[in-house]
Amino acid sequence: MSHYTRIRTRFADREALQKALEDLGFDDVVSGDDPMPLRGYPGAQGQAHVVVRAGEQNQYEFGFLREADGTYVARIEAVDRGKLGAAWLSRLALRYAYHATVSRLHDQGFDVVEERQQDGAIRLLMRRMA
Amino acid sequence: MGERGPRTGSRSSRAGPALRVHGFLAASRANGPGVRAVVWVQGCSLGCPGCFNPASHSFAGGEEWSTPGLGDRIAALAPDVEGITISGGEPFLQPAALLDLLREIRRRTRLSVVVFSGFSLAELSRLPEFPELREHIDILLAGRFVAAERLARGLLGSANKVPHFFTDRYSPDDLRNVPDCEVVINPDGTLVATGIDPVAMSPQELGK
Repeated sequence: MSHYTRIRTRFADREALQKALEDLGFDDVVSGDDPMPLRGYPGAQGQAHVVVRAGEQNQYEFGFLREADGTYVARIEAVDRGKLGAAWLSRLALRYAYHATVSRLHDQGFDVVEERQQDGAIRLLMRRMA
Repeated sequence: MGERGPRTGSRSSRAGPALRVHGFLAASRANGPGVRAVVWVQGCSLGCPGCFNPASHSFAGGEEWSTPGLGDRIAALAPDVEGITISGGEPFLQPAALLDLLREIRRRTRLSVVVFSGFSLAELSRLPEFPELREHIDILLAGRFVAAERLARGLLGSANKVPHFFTDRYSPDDLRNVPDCEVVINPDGTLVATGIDPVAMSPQELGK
Protein backbone atom coordinates (compact mmCIF):
# COMPACT_ATOMS: atom_id res chain seq x y z
CA MET A 1 0.00 0.00 0.00
CA SER A 2 1.03 3.57 -0.35
CA HIS A 3 1.57 5.56 2.78
CA TYR A 4 -0.81 8.25 4.03
CA THR A 5 -0.26 10.58 6.98
CA ARG A 6 -1.89 13.87 7.84
CA ILE A 7 -0.17 16.15 10.36
CA ARG A 8 -1.26 19.44 11.86
CA THR A 9 1.83 21.55 12.35
CA ARG A 10 2.81 22.87 15.74
CA PHE A 11 5.93 24.94 16.24
CA ALA A 12 8.48 22.59 17.75
CA ASP A 13 11.75 23.16 15.87
CA ARG A 14 13.36 26.43 16.96
CA GLU A 15 15.66 26.71 13.96
CA ALA A 16 12.80 26.20 11.50
CA LEU A 17 10.70 28.73 13.43
CA GLN A 18 13.45 31.34 13.15
CA LYS A 19 13.82 30.70 9.41
CA ALA A 20 10.06 31.06 9.00
CA LEU A 21 10.13 34.39 10.84
CA GLU A 22 12.94 35.56 8.56
CA ASP A 23 10.85 34.57 5.52
CA LEU A 24 8.12 36.91 6.76
CA GLY A 25 10.55 39.78 7.24
CA PHE A 26 11.47 39.43 10.90
CA ASP A 27 15.25 39.35 10.91
CA ASP A 28 15.94 40.66 14.41
CA VAL A 29 15.26 37.50 16.40
CA VAL A 30 17.07 36.15 19.46
CA SER A 31 16.52 32.80 21.10
CA GLY A 32 17.81 30.79 24.02
CA ASP A 33 17.23 27.77 26.19
CA ASP A 34 15.94 29.96 29.00
CA PRO A 35 12.97 32.31 28.67
CA MET A 36 13.77 35.97 28.12
CA PRO A 37 11.63 38.98 29.06
CA LEU A 38 9.51 40.51 26.30
CA ARG A 39 9.73 44.29 26.14
CA GLY A 40 6.07 44.81 25.49
CA TYR A 41 3.28 47.14 26.48
CA PRO A 42 4.31 49.07 29.63
CA GLY A 43 3.58 46.93 32.65
CA ALA A 44 3.34 43.70 30.70
CA GLN A 45 5.58 40.88 31.97
CA GLY A 46 5.72 38.35 29.18
CA GLN A 47 8.54 35.92 28.56
CA ALA A 48 9.56 33.87 25.54
CA HIS A 49 12.32 31.54 24.39
CA VAL A 50 12.26 33.06 20.90
CA VAL A 51 12.01 36.86 20.94
CA VAL A 52 11.32 39.08 17.93
CA ARG A 53 12.52 42.63 18.47
CA ALA A 54 10.17 45.54 17.79
CA GLY A 55 10.27 46.78 14.23
CA GLU A 56 8.23 48.13 11.33
CA GLN A 57 5.72 45.31 11.53
CA ASN A 58 5.39 45.11 15.31
CA GLN A 59 5.17 47.98 17.77
CA TYR A 60 6.26 45.76 20.66
CA GLU A 61 8.43 42.70 20.99
CA PHE A 62 6.64 39.40 20.59
CA GLY A 63 7.85 35.87 20.94
CA PHE A 64 7.29 32.18 21.34
CA LEU A 65 7.32 30.47 24.73
CA ARG A 66 8.34 26.81 24.87
CA GLU A 67 5.74 24.68 26.65
CA ALA A 68 6.44 21.56 28.70
CA ASP A 69 5.73 19.35 25.65
CA GLY A 70 8.45 21.14 23.66
CA THR A 71 6.16 23.14 21.39
CA TYR A 72 6.29 26.92 21.10
CA VAL A 73 3.24 29.11 21.66
CA ALA A 74 3.01 32.67 20.34
CA ARG A 75 3.01 35.56 22.80
CA ILE A 76 1.88 38.69 20.94
CA GLU A 77 0.65 41.99 22.40
CA ALA A 78 -2.98 42.77 21.66
CA VAL A 79 -2.00 45.98 19.90
CA ASP A 80 0.00 43.97 17.33
CA ARG A 81 -2.56 41.23 16.77
CA GLY A 82 -4.20 43.17 13.95
CA LYS A 83 -1.20 42.51 11.76
CA LEU A 84 0.03 39.41 13.55
CA GLY A 85 -3.28 37.58 13.91
CA ALA A 86 -4.59 34.21 12.81
CA ALA A 87 -3.94 34.80 9.11
CA TRP A 88 -0.34 35.77 9.81
CA LEU A 89 0.14 32.74 12.07
CA SER A 90 -1.12 30.53 9.23
CA ARG A 91 1.45 32.04 6.87
CA LEU A 92 4.11 31.50 9.52
CA ALA A 93 2.95 27.89 9.97
CA LEU A 94 3.30 27.25 6.24
CA ARG A 95 6.85 28.60 6.15
CA TYR A 96 7.69 26.75 9.36
CA ALA A 97 6.32 23.48 7.97
CA TYR A 98 8.34 24.01 4.79
CA HIS A 99 11.66 24.52 6.60
CA ALA A 100 11.05 21.75 9.15
CA THR A 101 9.99 19.29 6.44
CA VAL A 102 12.82 20.02 4.00
CA SER A 103 15.32 19.67 6.82
CA ARG A 104 13.92 16.25 7.78
CA LEU A 105 13.81 15.10 4.16
CA HIS A 106 17.46 15.91 3.58
CA ASP A 107 18.34 14.22 6.87
CA GLN A 108 16.55 11.10 5.62
CA GLY A 109 18.42 11.01 2.33
CA PHE A 110 15.86 12.31 -0.14
CA ASP A 111 16.42 14.46 -3.21
CA VAL A 112 13.67 17.07 -3.12
CA VAL A 113 11.90 18.77 -6.01
CA GLU A 114 9.57 21.62 -5.08
CA GLU A 115 6.38 22.70 -6.83
CA ARG A 116 4.22 25.68 -5.94
CA GLN A 117 0.47 25.18 -6.25
CA GLN A 118 -2.03 27.81 -7.34
CA ASP A 119 -3.74 27.71 -3.95
CA GLY A 120 -0.49 28.56 -2.15
CA ALA A 121 0.27 24.99 -1.13
CA ILE A 122 3.80 23.65 -1.60
CA ARG A 123 4.27 20.17 -3.07
CA LEU A 124 7.57 18.43 -2.34
CA LEU A 125 8.40 15.40 -4.49
CA MET A 126 11.13 13.08 -3.33
CA ARG A 127 13.34 10.33 -4.53
CA ARG A 128 15.72 8.46 -2.29
CA MET A 129 19.31 9.44 -3.17
CA ALA A 130 21.28 6.56 -4.65
CA MET B 1 -5.40 19.40 -0.84
CA GLY B 2 -6.31 16.53 1.36
CA GLU B 3 -9.89 15.84 2.22
CA ARG B 4 -12.05 13.55 4.28
CA GLY B 5 -15.56 13.03 3.21
CA PRO B 6 -19.06 12.23 4.27
CA ARG B 7 -21.31 9.38 3.29
CA THR B 8 -23.97 11.69 1.95
CA GLY B 9 -24.07 14.54 -0.51
CA SER B 10 -24.15 12.44 -3.64
CA ARG B 11 -25.37 14.15 -6.80
CA SER B 12 -26.17 10.70 -8.11
CA SER B 13 -29.76 9.62 -7.52
CA ARG B 14 -28.65 5.99 -7.38
CA ALA B 15 -28.23 4.24 -4.05
CA GLY B 16 -25.07 2.23 -3.85
CA PRO B 17 -23.02 0.22 -1.38
CA ALA B 18 -20.94 2.12 1.14
CA LEU B 19 -17.16 2.06 0.97
CA ARG B 20 -15.35 2.53 4.28
CA VAL B 21 -12.68 5.13 3.57
CA HIS B 22 -9.54 5.95 5.55
CA GLY B 23 -8.44 8.98 3.53
CA PHE B 24 -8.89 10.85 0.28
CA LEU B 25 -6.58 13.11 -1.71
CA ALA B 26 -7.77 15.12 -4.67
CA ALA B 27 -4.32 15.24 -6.28
CA SER B 28 -1.15 13.27 -5.69
CA ARG B 29 1.91 12.62 -7.84
CA ALA B 30 3.33 9.80 -5.73
CA ASN B 31 0.55 7.23 -6.09
CA GLY B 32 0.86 6.24 -9.72
CA PRO B 33 1.54 7.73 -13.13
CA GLY B 34 0.75 11.45 -13.44
CA VAL B 35 -1.50 13.40 -11.10
CA ARG B 36 -4.05 11.14 -9.45
CA ALA B 37 -6.90 11.26 -6.97
CA VAL B 38 -6.32 8.70 -4.23
CA VAL B 39 -8.72 6.76 -2.02
CA TRP B 40 -7.33 4.87 0.97
CA VAL B 41 -9.94 2.36 2.08
CA GLN B 42 -10.35 1.48 5.74
CA GLY B 43 -9.96 -2.07 7.01
CA CYS B 44 -7.32 -4.74 6.53
CA SER B 45 -6.91 -8.11 8.26
CA LEU B 46 -3.65 -9.21 6.60
CA GLY B 47 -1.45 -7.87 9.40
CA CYS B 48 1.77 -7.55 7.39
CA PRO B 49 4.55 -6.83 9.91
CA GLY B 50 5.99 -3.38 9.30
CA CYS B 51 2.96 -2.06 7.43
CA PHE B 52 3.19 1.73 7.44
CA ASN B 53 -0.55 2.37 7.41
CA PRO B 54 -1.60 0.72 10.70
CA ALA B 55 -4.28 3.35 11.27
CA SER B 56 -6.10 1.95 8.23
CA HIS B 57 -6.40 -1.59 9.65
CA SER B 58 -9.45 -1.33 11.92
CA PHE B 59 -12.75 -2.10 10.21
CA ALA B 60 -14.44 0.29 12.62
CA GLY B 61 -12.33 3.32 11.70
CA GLY B 62 -12.60 5.77 8.85
CA GLU B 63 -15.85 7.01 7.38
CA GLU B 64 -18.43 5.43 5.12
CA TRP B 65 -18.89 7.00 1.70
CA SER B 66 -21.65 6.02 -0.70
CA THR B 67 -20.00 4.79 -3.87
CA PRO B 68 -22.17 7.02 -6.11
CA GLY B 69 -21.20 9.99 -3.94
CA LEU B 70 -17.54 9.11 -4.15
CA GLY B 71 -17.96 8.60 -7.87
CA ASP B 72 -19.40 12.10 -8.14
CA ARG B 73 -16.43 13.52 -6.32
CA ILE B 74 -13.92 11.70 -8.48
CA ALA B 75 -15.77 12.51 -11.71
CA ALA B 76 -15.64 16.20 -10.79
CA LEU B 77 -11.83 15.94 -10.58
CA ALA B 78 -11.51 14.22 -13.96
CA PRO B 79 -10.41 17.32 -15.89
CA ASP B 80 -7.45 17.80 -13.54
CA VAL B 81 -6.21 14.28 -12.88
CA GLU B 82 -4.99 11.41 -15.02
CA GLY B 83 -6.44 8.68 -12.89
CA ILE B 84 -7.57 7.27 -9.61
CA THR B 85 -5.55 5.10 -7.25
CA ILE B 86 -7.18 2.86 -4.67
CA SER B 87 -4.96 2.03 -1.71
CA GLY B 88 -5.61 1.07 1.85
CA GLY B 89 -6.38 -0.77 4.03
CA GLU B 90 -7.23 -3.66 1.75
CA PRO B 91 -9.51 -2.67 -1.14
CA PHE B 92 -10.53 -6.22 -2.02
CA LEU B 93 -11.98 -6.84 1.44
CA GLN B 94 -14.81 -4.56 0.29
CA PRO B 95 -15.30 -6.15 -3.14
CA ALA B 96 -18.92 -5.16 -3.79
CA ALA B 97 -18.31 -1.49 -2.96
CA LEU B 98 -15.02 -1.48 -4.87
CA LEU B 99 -16.70 -2.95 -7.94
CA ASP B 100 -19.52 -0.45 -7.74
CA LEU B 101 -17.05 2.45 -7.49
CA LEU B 102 -14.93 1.25 -10.39
CA ARG B 103 -18.02 0.69 -12.57
CA GLU B 104 -19.04 4.26 -11.77
CA ILE B 105 -15.63 5.65 -12.65
CA ARG B 106 -15.41 3.69 -15.90
CA ARG B 107 -18.95 4.66 -16.88
CA ARG B 108 -18.46 8.36 -16.26
CA THR B 109 -14.78 9.10 -16.95
CA ARG B 110 -11.70 8.09 -18.92
CA LEU B 111 -9.56 8.03 -15.78
CA SER B 112 -7.02 5.25 -15.42
CA VAL B 113 -7.27 2.97 -12.40
CA VAL B 114 -4.41 1.73 -10.20
CA VAL B 115 -5.20 -0.55 -7.26
CA PHE B 116 -2.92 -1.71 -4.44
CA SER B 117 -3.62 -5.04 -2.75
CA GLY B 118 -1.91 -7.20 -0.14
CA PHE B 119 -3.38 -10.28 -1.82
CA SER B 120 -1.64 -12.09 -4.64
CA LEU B 121 -3.28 -12.35 -8.05
CA ALA B 122 -3.95 -16.05 -7.40
CA GLU B 123 -5.76 -15.21 -4.17
CA LEU B 124 -7.76 -12.42 -5.78
CA SER B 125 -8.76 -14.70 -8.64
CA ARG B 126 -10.87 -16.70 -6.20
CA LEU B 127 -13.11 -13.69 -5.56
CA PRO B 128 -16.44 -13.99 -7.44
CA GLU B 129 -16.23 -10.28 -8.30
CA PHE B 130 -12.65 -10.42 -9.57
CA PRO B 131 -13.25 -11.10 -13.29
CA GLU B 132 -15.24 -7.89 -13.59
CA LEU B 133 -13.00 -5.96 -11.22
CA ARG B 134 -10.02 -6.86 -13.38
CA GLU B 135 -11.74 -5.38 -16.45
CA HIS B 136 -11.82 -1.99 -14.72
CA ILE B 137 -8.20 -1.94 -13.50
CA ASP B 138 -5.17 -0.77 -15.50
CA ILE B 139 -2.50 -1.69 -12.95
CA LEU B 140 -2.81 -4.01 -9.96
CA LEU B 141 0.06 -3.98 -7.45
CA ALA B 142 -0.37 -7.30 -5.68
CA GLY B 143 1.17 -9.18 -2.79
CA ARG B 144 1.89 -8.91 0.93
CA PHE B 145 4.31 -6.31 2.21
CA VAL B 146 7.41 -8.22 3.38
CA ALA B 147 9.56 -5.96 5.52
CA ALA B 148 12.70 -8.08 4.95
CA GLU B 149 12.33 -7.42 1.21
CA ARG B 150 11.61 -3.72 1.53
CA LEU B 151 12.09 -1.96 -1.81
CA ALA B 152 10.08 1.29 -1.65
CA ARG B 153 10.56 2.08 -5.34
CA GLY B 154 8.29 2.21 -8.35
CA LEU B 155 5.16 1.86 -6.21
CA LEU B 156 6.42 -1.48 -4.85
CA GLY B 157 6.73 -1.52 -1.09
CA SER B 158 8.69 -4.76 -1.13
CA ALA B 159 10.45 -6.69 -3.87
CA ASN B 160 8.02 -9.64 -3.76
CA LYS B 161 5.08 -7.48 -4.82
CA VAL B 162 4.06 -7.90 -8.44
CA PRO B 163 2.72 -5.22 -10.79
CA HIS B 164 0.09 -6.60 -13.17
CA PHE B 165 -0.68 -4.53 -16.27
CA PHE B 166 -4.21 -5.49 -17.28
CA THR B 167 -4.38 -2.96 -20.13
CA ASP B 168 -1.81 -1.46 -22.50
CA ARG B 169 -2.28 2.02 -21.06
CA TYR B 170 0.87 1.85 -18.94
CA SER B 171 4.23 0.13 -18.92
CA PRO B 172 6.80 -0.66 -16.19
CA ASP B 173 8.62 2.59 -17.09
CA ASP B 174 5.56 4.54 -15.96
CA LEU B 175 5.92 3.06 -12.49
CA ARG B 176 9.67 3.65 -12.32
CA ASN B 177 9.08 7.37 -12.89
CA VAL B 178 6.70 7.80 -9.94
CA PRO B 179 8.30 9.79 -7.07
CA ASP B 180 8.99 7.70 -3.98
CA CYS B 181 7.38 10.16 -1.63
CA GLU B 182 5.42 13.40 -1.61
CA VAL B 183 4.69 15.97 1.06
CA VAL B 184 2.08 18.65 0.46
CA ILE B 185 2.22 21.64 2.81
CA ASN B 186 -1.14 23.34 2.75
CA PRO B 187 -1.63 27.09 3.18
CA ASP B 188 -2.84 26.56 6.75
CA GLY B 189 0.35 24.69 7.65
CA THR B 190 -1.15 21.19 7.66
CA LEU B 191 0.91 18.52 5.93
CA VAL B 192 -0.02 15.43 3.99
CA ALA B 193 2.74 12.87 3.44
CA THR B 194 2.20 10.04 0.99
CA GLY B 195 4.03 7.63 -1.27
CA ILE B 196 5.70 4.24 -1.25
CA ASP B 197 8.70 5.38 0.80
CA PRO B 198 7.18 7.13 3.79
CA VAL B 199 8.91 10.09 5.36
CA ALA B 200 9.42 9.83 9.09
CA MET B 201 7.52 12.83 10.39
CA SER B 202 8.23 13.26 14.07
CA PRO B 203 5.36 14.77 16.06
CA GLN B 204 8.01 16.13 18.42
CA GLU B 205 9.57 18.09 15.56
CA LEU B 206 6.59 18.97 13.43
CA GLY B 207 3.68 18.70 15.80
CA LYS B 208 0.54 16.74 15.08
